[in-house]
Amino acid sequence: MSAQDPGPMRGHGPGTSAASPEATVRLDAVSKTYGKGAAAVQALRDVSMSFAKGSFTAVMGPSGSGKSTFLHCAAGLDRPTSGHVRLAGADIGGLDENALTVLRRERIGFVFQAFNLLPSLTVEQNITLPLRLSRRRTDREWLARILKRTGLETRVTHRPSELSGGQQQRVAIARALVTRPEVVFADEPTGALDSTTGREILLLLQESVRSLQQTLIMVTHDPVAASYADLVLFLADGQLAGSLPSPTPDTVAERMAQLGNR
Amino acid sequence: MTGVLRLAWLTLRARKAGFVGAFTALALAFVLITACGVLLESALRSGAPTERYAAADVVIAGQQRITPAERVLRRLRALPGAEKVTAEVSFPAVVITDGREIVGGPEGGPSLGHAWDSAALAPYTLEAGRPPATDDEVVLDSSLADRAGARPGSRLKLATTGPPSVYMVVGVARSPLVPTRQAALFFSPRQAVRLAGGKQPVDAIGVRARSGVSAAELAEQARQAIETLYSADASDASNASDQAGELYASDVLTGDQRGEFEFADSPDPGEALGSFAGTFGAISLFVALFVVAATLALSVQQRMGEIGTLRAIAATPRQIRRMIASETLLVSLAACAVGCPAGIALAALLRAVLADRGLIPEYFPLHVGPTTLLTVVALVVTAAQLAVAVSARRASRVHPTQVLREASTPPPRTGLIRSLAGIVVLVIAAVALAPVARGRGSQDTGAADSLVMVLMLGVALLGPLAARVGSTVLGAPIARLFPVAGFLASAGTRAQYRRLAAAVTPLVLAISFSGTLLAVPELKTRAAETQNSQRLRADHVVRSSGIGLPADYAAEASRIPGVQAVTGLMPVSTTLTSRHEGDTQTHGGQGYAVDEETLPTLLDLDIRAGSLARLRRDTVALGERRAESLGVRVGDTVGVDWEDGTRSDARVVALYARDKGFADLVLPRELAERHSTDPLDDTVLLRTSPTADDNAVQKALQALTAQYPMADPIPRAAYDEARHARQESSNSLSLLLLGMIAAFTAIAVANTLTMSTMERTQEFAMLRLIGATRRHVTRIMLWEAGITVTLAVALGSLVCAAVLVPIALALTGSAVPAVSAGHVLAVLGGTTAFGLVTVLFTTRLALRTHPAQAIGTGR
Repeated sequence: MSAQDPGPMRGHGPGTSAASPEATVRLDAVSKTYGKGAAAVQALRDVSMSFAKGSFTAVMGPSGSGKSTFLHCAAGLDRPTSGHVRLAGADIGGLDENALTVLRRERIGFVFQAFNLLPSLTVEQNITLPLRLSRRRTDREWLARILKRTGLETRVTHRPSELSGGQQQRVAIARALVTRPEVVFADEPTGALDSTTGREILLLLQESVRSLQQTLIMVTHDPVAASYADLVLFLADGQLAGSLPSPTPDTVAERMAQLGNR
Repeated sequence: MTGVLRLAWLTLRARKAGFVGAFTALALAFVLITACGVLLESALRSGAPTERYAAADVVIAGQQRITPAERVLRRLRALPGAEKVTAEVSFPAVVITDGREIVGGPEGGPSLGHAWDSAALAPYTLEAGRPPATDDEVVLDSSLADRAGARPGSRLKLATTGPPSVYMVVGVARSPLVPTRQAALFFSPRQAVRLAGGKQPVDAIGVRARSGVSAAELAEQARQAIETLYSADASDASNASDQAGELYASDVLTGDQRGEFEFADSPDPGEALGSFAGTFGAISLFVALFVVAATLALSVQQRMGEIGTLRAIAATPRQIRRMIASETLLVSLAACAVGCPAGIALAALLRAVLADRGLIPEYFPLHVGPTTLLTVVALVVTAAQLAVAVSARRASRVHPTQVLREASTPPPRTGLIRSLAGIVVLVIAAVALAPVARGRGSQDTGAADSLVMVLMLGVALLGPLAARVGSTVLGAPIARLFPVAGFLASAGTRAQYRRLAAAVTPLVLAISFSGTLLAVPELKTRAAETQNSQRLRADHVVRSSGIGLPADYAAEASRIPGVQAVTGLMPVSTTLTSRHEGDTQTHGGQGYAVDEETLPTLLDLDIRAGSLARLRRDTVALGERRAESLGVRVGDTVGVDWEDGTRSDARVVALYARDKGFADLVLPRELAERHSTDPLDDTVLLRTSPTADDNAVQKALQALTAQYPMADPIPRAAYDEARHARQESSNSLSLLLLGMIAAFTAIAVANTLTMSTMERTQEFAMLRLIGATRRHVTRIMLWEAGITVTLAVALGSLVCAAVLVPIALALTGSAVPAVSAGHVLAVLGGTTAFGLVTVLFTTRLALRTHPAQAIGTGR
């Protein structure tokens, strides 16, 4: 499927992928410690992972396993205490706050459990907000494709308060896709939705990754959500605790139960 | 109820931060209103106890002298409850020291001469020496004797109603109340009557009750006795002449009323303070209501989600309302614990400042009573409950499932009823302001300045509508010109117009109050100065200090070479009555008796009807406003009740327009002298001939002060300057008030802006996650603040104009208020800068939270 749709890659030079042909996101021996002295909490211990282009990876783990810290470090929202994070070809350790923001704006998309839309903007304005912030013109053709894919064509002038939860999450996904990012981070994207709507959202994400050759990294604690990924990575006590290719809800739930009982 | 109260307490403890704003606003309200309450109580309690009448249970006195004195005294002596009846006469009297200093009453208190036999009313008792026996002997009260450095045996120069002359001090008498607030000089009865003028002058009568008779019983007897005398007199009024025989209803005074009469003519320190504290209190309460309402509304709106959860788990709307009311009560009480003591401290500070500026005497005591404090607490707590009731009602009515949506976007409609109410309020204000504007040049501004409060109420009610319209009008071009930050700011303010309205209101309040409090006194001062300088044609002014100038002074001044015209201005206190077609109008009339020959040379009163040339004998000229209230025209006759207790008729020969700050009536000196109890000029006006040497005239006038130390001659320019300085110092009180109100509204502005910025921490985090830099967010907020401030400046200027234009029309006839550009710039620029800086600062603060933490990624 991906081979037939080279479109989304047109925006970026070959150099981007050439620098790291395999992995768009790479963590090397990343540790993160919060606090100091006796109160220090080590949220991540020496974690190394890499995420290949066009892959859909779910990161799972029980509460307190370091999932959120992992996401924040991987997405450049937080800096690791030690180790390196390479994101879309750049070592983010060397970037200042502004450069990081620009990187986020142009290379990375975010989808959260809370939809985080601006209530004052229409659906279309919300979707194109990242373009507006970087003063880029909206590619109307591309926008139309995204709207079609997310099923929002008839809702462009609505405001978030007039939409259902599933529709709001679709807007958030469309916003994450509009800059044609190389990586999309999703944090419990179905957490606030019912199971039917959740399934639709996951399918949408899955399909986008495939068709746009993106890297999707999703943090979740829901085995059903994780089963849509190509690969599930498990975290426990801030450390990598195994992986599961071709997951199903049952196998994921089983591994989770084992982790919980350790 | 305890359940709800407990829930409220737990909420407060858990959400301290959310209540800081409400607490600050309430605490400040407590500080200001407690301070006013304490000052007001102190002012009301300043009511002076009687000094001179301490030994008289009942005092009979009136605005005029008592006539016919002999018959009243006879009736009173016949009262069954009366032990002793003493008549008292009073006239101005001061000591002139060898250094030509005037020594009179302490701290500006009265300094009066009496006959020795009325010393028994206090009683003043002889400390040394003996009573005055001959016409040139005098007894001083001990405090005056100390200050004048006099002992029995000293020879002293005294100024009284005539030219200064020398007396022998034969005794020193002690007042029953120390420290005294007046000076008393006792003369022989014969000399006292001579100096007081008139046949049988009696200013007051003190009656001591027989043992077993209460003051109230005695007062009732006296009242009846006077009433029968009056009705007997009225029945044969037909054959009584105008001049005498008529009796004026004198008041029968007991208790504190005696002191009030005693000090009626001396400036009451409590009065200025009372009106200051009253105005200050009313404005503070009003501003507090606004500020607290705005703050509480915002804090309720922030908690819509929480309220929705409570509603969802089956809390009834009533319970929600009660919870919010209880929270507000708890916050109010906490604020009271901090604010009330601070308010008492502020009152003490203000007392010191006012005493320092000489607006109240140094000794003026501060009264802190439980009644005041309880009233203040009740007022503020009630105001807070009223203020929160509206928001609580709206919050509680929301359907549980709607709440989350309500939290993200306000209901699309601005309340129709609210807008209508706002329009009604504005119409009321317009109706009240229209007559002021119509009275072009009438000098009558009525209560225009207090209408700021009504206008503010209208603006607050129409706030959401104004915010909607304003954000659209301002937002559209900004969004087009600045497609990133401008666009987002415009979209934000348009969607969240309620939040915009909440931020705009305190800014409008700040601009309106500081604008009018600064400009109104300025306009009035300028108008008064303009009118005064137009009126006054004299080029030398002699003011009196300590005691008035005797008539001889004006006569001597007129003999100075180069002086062309002189008139004394002798204050006359009258009551004027007009009768036509059975309708009787009675008004007080403060007049000036003048030299009618020279008056037109020295004063330009702007004659509107009749002519001053006809001001002869039994005639008067009336100020337009007094003529209007009496309903008289040139040629009509008015009844005049004189100081000496007589009544006569006078014909109106002229009406003049420049009556403001001058006199209700002007009359020939010869007419006034016949009826005055103290024929002294408070001011003498001089005009020199064009060729005269002004310095020589001034020197001659200075030389004359050797003989008349109470005279203070100054050239015209210096007089105008002194007058200006006096105005400025009285305006300083309103500047003080302005400072307080500005501080309060500033805190309100900071409060609202901070709260409405901080509540958007999550929004900022989201913006930053999708790629907005800190600079982006700051710019968005600055644009929003710009829209907020622009709207506030527009509305605030409208409110100021609505008040100032009618006042300017009334005072000067011009619609453009003569306000200094510096003041306009200070008010508008200050508010703008303050608003922008606050938003910038709080945005920085909100951006400190790491976006990943602020957004709550669903851990």
